Amino acid sequence: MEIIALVKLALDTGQLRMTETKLDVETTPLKISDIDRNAVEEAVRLREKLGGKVHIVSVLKYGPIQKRQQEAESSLREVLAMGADDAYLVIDNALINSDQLITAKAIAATVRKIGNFDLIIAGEATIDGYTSQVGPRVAAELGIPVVTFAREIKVEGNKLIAKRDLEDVVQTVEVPLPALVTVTREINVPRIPPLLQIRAAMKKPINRLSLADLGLSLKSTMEISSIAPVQVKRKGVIIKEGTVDEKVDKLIQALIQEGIITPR
Amino acid sequence: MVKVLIVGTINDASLIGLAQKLENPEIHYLLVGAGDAAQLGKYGVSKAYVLPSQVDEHSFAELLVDLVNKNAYSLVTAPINKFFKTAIPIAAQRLSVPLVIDIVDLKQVGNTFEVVFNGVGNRAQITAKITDRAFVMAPPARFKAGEKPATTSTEVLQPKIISPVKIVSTEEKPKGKVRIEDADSRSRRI
Repeated sequence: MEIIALVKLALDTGQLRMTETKLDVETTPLKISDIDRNAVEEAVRLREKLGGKVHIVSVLKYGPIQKRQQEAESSLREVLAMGADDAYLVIDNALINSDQLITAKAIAATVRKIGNFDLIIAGEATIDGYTSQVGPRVAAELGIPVVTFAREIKVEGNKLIAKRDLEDVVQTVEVPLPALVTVTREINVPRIPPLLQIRAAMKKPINRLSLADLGLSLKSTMEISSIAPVQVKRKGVIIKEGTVDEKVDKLIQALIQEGIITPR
Repeated sequence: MVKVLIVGTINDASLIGLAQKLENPEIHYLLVGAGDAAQLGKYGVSKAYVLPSQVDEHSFAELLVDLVNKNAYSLVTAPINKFFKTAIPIAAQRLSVPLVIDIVDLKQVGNTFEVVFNGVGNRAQITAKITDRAFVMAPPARFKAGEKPATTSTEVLQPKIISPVKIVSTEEKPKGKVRIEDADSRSRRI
């Protein structure tokens, strides 16, 4: 079974470099987006069960390229250590700060370059953008079906069976392969690779591609003018009185009052 | 005049408030599910397309692509939920249009939209410019539609069901209170 896992080299939102007025994207470290680790884990588990290969596809979206290339490759070694066979990293100035429309075009072209595949797995969203766009967009670009928000998947013959975690229901669906599935954090616990696999990952290939290599010439349809940090002042409310259940009720009421959650 | 299509249920009608930020918009509404389309006229909606029953995401995207091509909308807005987070990106990619999620504000200068949206793990507000056409998604409660009476014409749509995804079963999630120990074990898994 040929599986492709999509991995985003995301801004590490836990280590943002920012002042009161400016978020410095260029000096903020990158990391593998958390839910993409779940995607890789699921791909490796399927490969272990069904045979085949797991290819990683990633697009570098944050510059400067000179500084980021090494950082990106080091991060990709982490998912190669989890058990993926090889990686494809698309690096091009036109993709820096690009929108999801052209990111999806670059990923789809890379998938076509890899050749035959049965399944593409991606995280339901990335930790920095959290837009959930790229999975469905890549599927649309490749003309294959997409199943989103899967918390359990299995492959039976030529079909994928997935349990989708929707707002009020869990929906079980079947779809013929090839298909793209986006997975939630609940699907598995990503493995922590042992030292031996980390060392072995250093020898696995990372194929660097430019848009020209993919036969593409793209320009972002969205031009970012500014990125300003959101200033959040803590309210410092402490719920001290009552039993655990009473405290939870008070917390829920406070969250409803602030408009953070909506009662069903 | 900017042609805008609002997509959603009748409960998402406050998204009209986002369209009203534009100068002299012509507002259409793709009403999904039950609801009185005529009452949308109170907020300036001149045309309501009605999709009486819920369809799958692939078929919905196909229908939306046809509608956008037919009416040449410059702006399409939808609420944020898992159905639209699947269907709208499919349609946006098919139409080669950018999509902004979690939009906070919108301005129009000529044929350029200036959008402000939450990003970077909700730690930043990003301002961006999009020319000609844009798709945007937002929580409807963020906006308030002002009354601006218009006559709404209504058309019922018959979607083509094209989805290769077969629904095998649907199970309701438990509602009501969650026991502390269940919540705790779930958070440990995450």
